[in-house]
Amino acid sequence: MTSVQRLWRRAREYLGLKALKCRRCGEVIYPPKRACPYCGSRDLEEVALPRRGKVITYTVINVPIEGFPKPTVIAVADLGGAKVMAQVVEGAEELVEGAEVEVVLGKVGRTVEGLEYYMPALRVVSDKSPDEGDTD
Amino acid sequence: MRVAVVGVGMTKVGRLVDKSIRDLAAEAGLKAIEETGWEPPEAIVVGNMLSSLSEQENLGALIADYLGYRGVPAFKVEAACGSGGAAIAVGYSLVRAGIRRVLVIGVEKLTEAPTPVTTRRLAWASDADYELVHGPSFAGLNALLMRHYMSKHGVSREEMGSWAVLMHENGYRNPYAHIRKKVDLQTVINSPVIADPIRLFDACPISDGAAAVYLAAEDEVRRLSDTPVWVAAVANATDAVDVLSRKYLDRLEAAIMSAREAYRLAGVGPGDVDVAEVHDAYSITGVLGVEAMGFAEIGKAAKLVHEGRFAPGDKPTINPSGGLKSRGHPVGATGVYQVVEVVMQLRGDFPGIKVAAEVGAAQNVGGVGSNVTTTILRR
Repeated sequence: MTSVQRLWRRAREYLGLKALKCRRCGEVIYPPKRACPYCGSRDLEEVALPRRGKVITYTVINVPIEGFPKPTVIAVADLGGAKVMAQVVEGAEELVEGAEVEVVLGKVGRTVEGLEYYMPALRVVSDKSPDEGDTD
Repeated sequence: MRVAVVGVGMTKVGRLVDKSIRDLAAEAGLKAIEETGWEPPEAIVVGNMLSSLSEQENLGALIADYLGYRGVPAFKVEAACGSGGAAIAVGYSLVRAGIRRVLVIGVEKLTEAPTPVTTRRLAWASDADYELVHGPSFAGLNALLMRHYMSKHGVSREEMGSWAVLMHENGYRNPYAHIRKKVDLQTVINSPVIADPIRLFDACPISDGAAAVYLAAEDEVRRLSDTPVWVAAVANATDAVDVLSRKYLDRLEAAIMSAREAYRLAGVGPGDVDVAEVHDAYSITGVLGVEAMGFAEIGKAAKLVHEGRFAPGDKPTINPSGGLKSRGHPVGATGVYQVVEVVMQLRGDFPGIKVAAEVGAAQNVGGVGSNVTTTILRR
């Protein structure tokens, strides 16, 4: 289980969807590393990832780990060239590979102190419902 | 300096309520030492991931002393589910560096804690800050790869399910196996969903067990064994712990790198391997492992298994032990079990399915393919 201290340490990064971009090869690096894992360059700049993207793969976990919802729905989404993992907290019934998703704030789990915490999470953007667009 | 395996030992794998970490380590370790005529090792390397479940760290000293070798250099090596293979890699390097007799013990006691606690700790093999914080179980992470692989390569549920059928068919004959039970394809593909698309029979059990390999330098080998098996190569490679920053989700790059390097060092290729133990923590892991070893093209391994390839009689025969699915997965011990099993195949004394073999390979995978050791052995 994570803790308040650990979440606080990366709060700016998590909530701002921060990633790195390699100035040499142009690849987006997420999660952040101290060197570009693709070309080795250390010339990196911080970027904010877009809040919309598409689902690459997902899973519905019926046997979740302690502190997380049952089921825990997890997707990996392509957000501007980065693969980002997040819980799907809205529209999970319409989740398919390639589905369009939007980043929202979701209550995802409990810390070791017993506090509920929020993280960037995903909402599946339905084809059927009218598109509300970006809400931030 | 050539290195050989001059003794092996292992315990039955399972939920071994009456045995602790030290009991398991002693049973496997002393068996391996007994095979050398009770020659004391000069160092002991322990592969283990989660001895903390038994409230026991400091395994090197604990085991050295308990086995009767107080004073001998000894320490633990950890690389998640790849800890056993990593311990072999370290032990091999020690012999190459001049320590002439090294005992490598892989040991794991996963049933010491309630299953939910063990499940949570196993997920610690993932990236805590960028994956685990969102809540995926270890099965969930592998499920992400399995869905992507099946979708990208047009692999059916039946084709993926054939992996478990083959493993249980093999493991049924292994007296050391955890789950000795044959299953049919319908049972596999209709078993309960753990983390969609991973079902119960796609997953390995939670196991206890220990295995040991006694490594010796060339000039000691003749004195210690009449049936040495030579270590042709040991190669470890790493990938990102997170699956997110990898270019591809349908392959395990570290397993590919590790296999390539092992083949290069041993001077053999995939076509020379008679028997292989690959790391099938989940059906998808086994399939990706077979492809990384070069036994099938990317996207093809599950289809080949479904068509009957890799069964006893085929070259290579894969996982005659039953693999992690049936033999079981005492995580930090698994990589050592695999080497013991391949050694016994090459010596001709494996007590389950026998493969006539000159060259064997063992592939041990830590995390979701982040720390992989490939070992190649020959008679």
